[in-house]
Amino acid sequence: MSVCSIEWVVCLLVTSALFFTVPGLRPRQAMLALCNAGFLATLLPEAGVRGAVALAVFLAIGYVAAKLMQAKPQKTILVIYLAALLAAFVILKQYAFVKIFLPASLFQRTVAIVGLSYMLFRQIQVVVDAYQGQIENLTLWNYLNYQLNLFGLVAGPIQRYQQFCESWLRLEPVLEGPEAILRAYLRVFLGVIKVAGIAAACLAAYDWCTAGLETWTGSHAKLLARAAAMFYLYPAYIYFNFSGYCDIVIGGASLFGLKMPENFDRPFLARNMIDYWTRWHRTLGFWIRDYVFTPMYKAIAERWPQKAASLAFLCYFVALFLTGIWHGSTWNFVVFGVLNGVGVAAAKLWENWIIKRRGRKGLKQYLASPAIRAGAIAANFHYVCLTILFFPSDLSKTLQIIKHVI
Amino acid sequence: MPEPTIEVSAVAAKPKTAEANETDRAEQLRERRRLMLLVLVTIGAAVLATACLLAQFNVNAILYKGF
Repeated sequence: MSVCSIEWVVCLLVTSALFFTVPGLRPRQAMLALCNAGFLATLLPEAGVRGAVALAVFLAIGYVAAKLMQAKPQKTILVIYLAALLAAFVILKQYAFVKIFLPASLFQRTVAIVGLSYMLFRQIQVVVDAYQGQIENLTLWNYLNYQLNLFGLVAGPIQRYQQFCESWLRLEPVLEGPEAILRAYLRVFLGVIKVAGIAAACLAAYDWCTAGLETWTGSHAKLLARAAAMFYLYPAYIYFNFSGYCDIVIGGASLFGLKMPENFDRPFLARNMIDYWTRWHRTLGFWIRDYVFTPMYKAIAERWPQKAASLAFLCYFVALFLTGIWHGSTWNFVVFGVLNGVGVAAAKLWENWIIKRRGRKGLKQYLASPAIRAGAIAANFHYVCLTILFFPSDLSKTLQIIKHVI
Repeated sequence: MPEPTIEVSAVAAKPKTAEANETDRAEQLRERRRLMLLVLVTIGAAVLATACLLAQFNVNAILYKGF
């Protein structure tokens, strides 16, 4: 069942209307768990029996590992576990660039696990935080409902276990008064309009523009206009599709007393790529910052304290390159990762250069200038559009659009 | 020495002036209008959302025969 479908919206409205008539925490948790199981059941047939077994194993391993880390935190075991988990993820997702190095037999049997990409983040977060002694209330019941929460199962937002437990262990209305409830309904409906209306229209227009691009015989001006339309249409499609989906799940979850983290904050107004990743898919950006960038930067700072500041750009590159390739297993996502890595690294290097030339005061003046800000936003917006053009798996088509625009 | 709370309650117990009542009523009316507008916008959004979903369903049905 898709989150943007009539049946899902009807189920959401009916169940949420009944939810708080159920008295007590346990019955409410049971009702929500039933909803989670029901939603999962609609997705499992696509994955098949092997997919269901693999999902169960994946969840069980995550829980056992987190419990083990809580009872006996050992760095070596944590590192081995994380390496094995990432290796399994890369093989299961059949990453194109890994197929070059590994034997083909490893990729012959395909297993599809529902929501694997997002569950990976949640699993790592729980295990690492358990190792650091930051996890409380870790029970199988809580953990399973956290991982299989229907409001974040398929495409996020990536919620932290502690944040989930804050709502899950209370399950009381978070919307105060009829106005707040109406606003939540409105958000769900606007989300549906974004996904099924605006995003669908953008995609249809993009497809119309790309059709027959290889054999285009019209005038150069028309071709340029068509390529320019494609340049903006695909990012618009991705934005409306994903932010609409987030509106549906965040608004829907609030009707059940679950507070989900926000995923968007006017991303196209970002002034550079570092800023952009704190505004677009924010939960992913913050996760990468906390579990990839910070540990990496900390390790460098401990080893080479003098060079840490100047090497920060390298950490930015690696973190955002990994973010990019996580999005998909085909080669276009490698390009997407490189572009994002280069974007954030360049933003950091530019900042360092300004500080070197004009000092902290100069940087402050630079950041305060409205003209520079407007220029930076426009430039960053176009760079973002360029990176998103690499989302569709057909690399040759993307390169053709860029060629025509240039 | 008289308790300060007595003074406070004496002030609170004073009947509201006609002007204050009028302001309250105007505020309530504005609030009700805002809520009504929100109800209408939400219903409009619900209708539009349903139309979008139905249109998408039909497009899918045309694209993938037997859907």
